[in-house]
Amino acid sequence: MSRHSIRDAHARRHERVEALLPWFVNRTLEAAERREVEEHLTDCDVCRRELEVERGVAEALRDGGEPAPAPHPRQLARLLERIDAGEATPAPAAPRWRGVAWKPWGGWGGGWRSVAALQAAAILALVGVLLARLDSAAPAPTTGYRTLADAPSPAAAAGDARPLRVQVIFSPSTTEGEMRELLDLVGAHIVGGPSPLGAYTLELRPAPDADPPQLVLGVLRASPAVRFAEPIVGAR
Amino acid sequence: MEARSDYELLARVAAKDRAAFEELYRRYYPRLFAYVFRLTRRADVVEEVLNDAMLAIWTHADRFAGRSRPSTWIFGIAHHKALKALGRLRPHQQASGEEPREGDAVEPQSPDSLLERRELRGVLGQGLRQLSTEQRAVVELTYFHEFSYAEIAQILDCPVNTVKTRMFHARRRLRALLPQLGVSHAG
Repeated sequence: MSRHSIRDAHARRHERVEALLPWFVNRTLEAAERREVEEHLTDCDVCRRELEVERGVAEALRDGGEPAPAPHPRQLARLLERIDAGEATPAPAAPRWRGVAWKPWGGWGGGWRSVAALQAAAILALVGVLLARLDSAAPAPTTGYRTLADAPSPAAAAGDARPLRVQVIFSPSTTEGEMRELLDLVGAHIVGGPSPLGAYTLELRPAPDADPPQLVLGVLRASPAVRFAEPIVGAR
Repeated sequence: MEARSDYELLARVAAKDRAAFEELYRRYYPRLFAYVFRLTRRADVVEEVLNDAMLAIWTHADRFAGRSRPSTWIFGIAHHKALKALGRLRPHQQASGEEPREGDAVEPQSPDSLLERRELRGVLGQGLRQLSTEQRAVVELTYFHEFSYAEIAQILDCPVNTVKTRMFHARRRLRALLPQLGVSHAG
């Protein structure tokens, strides 16, 4: 083999390996291809650097992902109704995020399954907005919320300015707008979740600009957007 | 860990087993949601797309021939439904994901959407936004959902080399953002 053709062969292999790197990173290459990549990496600086880049991108993408939402129980119910009705033509039957008014949700229904199926879709929005708007002043709530005065919570008693973590389960049909307003209002951000039960951990913004935690907790509990809000014991 | 394999669930769905369908639905909903949302960047269509996809799975589970993993088949259906929805909503745009033109009113809520802002917030989100829908699909399916390139070709219903080419171009575009991601430049 001439020096020229060796160089060509190397160049072709380099191109082939470079194109495969994303799937080398995600570990889905067949054994033979994986070996070829590994071998080539031992003597190609360019591909080694490229590999590091790919790993960085992969990691950033995974980290940038929103928490995976669980299905809305009503949504599945409606889908099953469509199946029962023998509808052959798919038609939009799911509740849309926009314009879905909050309605009381009739109990927990199927117990664990329903709990696990709590609507979390709109939380995708919240994570972003809370990260982006931690410095926002609390805006006036517009519609859809009861005020603390309307539904005072026993927890909203004496003030306590220390940071508080609260476990929250949102109502299934809460719209993203409602959730944004609520979390902006109380100055909370999501630090964990969803748990297997669909619960999220919120951390309330510490003083001085935040409301006392008990007040915030009261607001959360009073909101129709929230089905459950409890301080996490030992987190304060 | 899994009580039943996806294969078994699909077989039972093909036999019109409702409980199996519900299990499959719950199992796949989060992953499909993430994929369809990030692909379409349209919060308002995700639920509709997922419903249509799941209904198609219910209706056509008997067509699953077992030549691929069930997840590949299921993602393929969701991808197809997502492109259909995008095409319906943006008939003047290619499904390749051209950005809306200025003054374009087809995404009235999107610029204001929190989800959109969530996407926009991250540097990588901005990079992904610059990709075509098909390029984004390849990137997402590779790094987020960890499919092989052959499986991605099945999902997107395109040749394997097309998958590699799309990824190659996507990488070139994303690379421009690497300094901001704290990743050193290669090459």
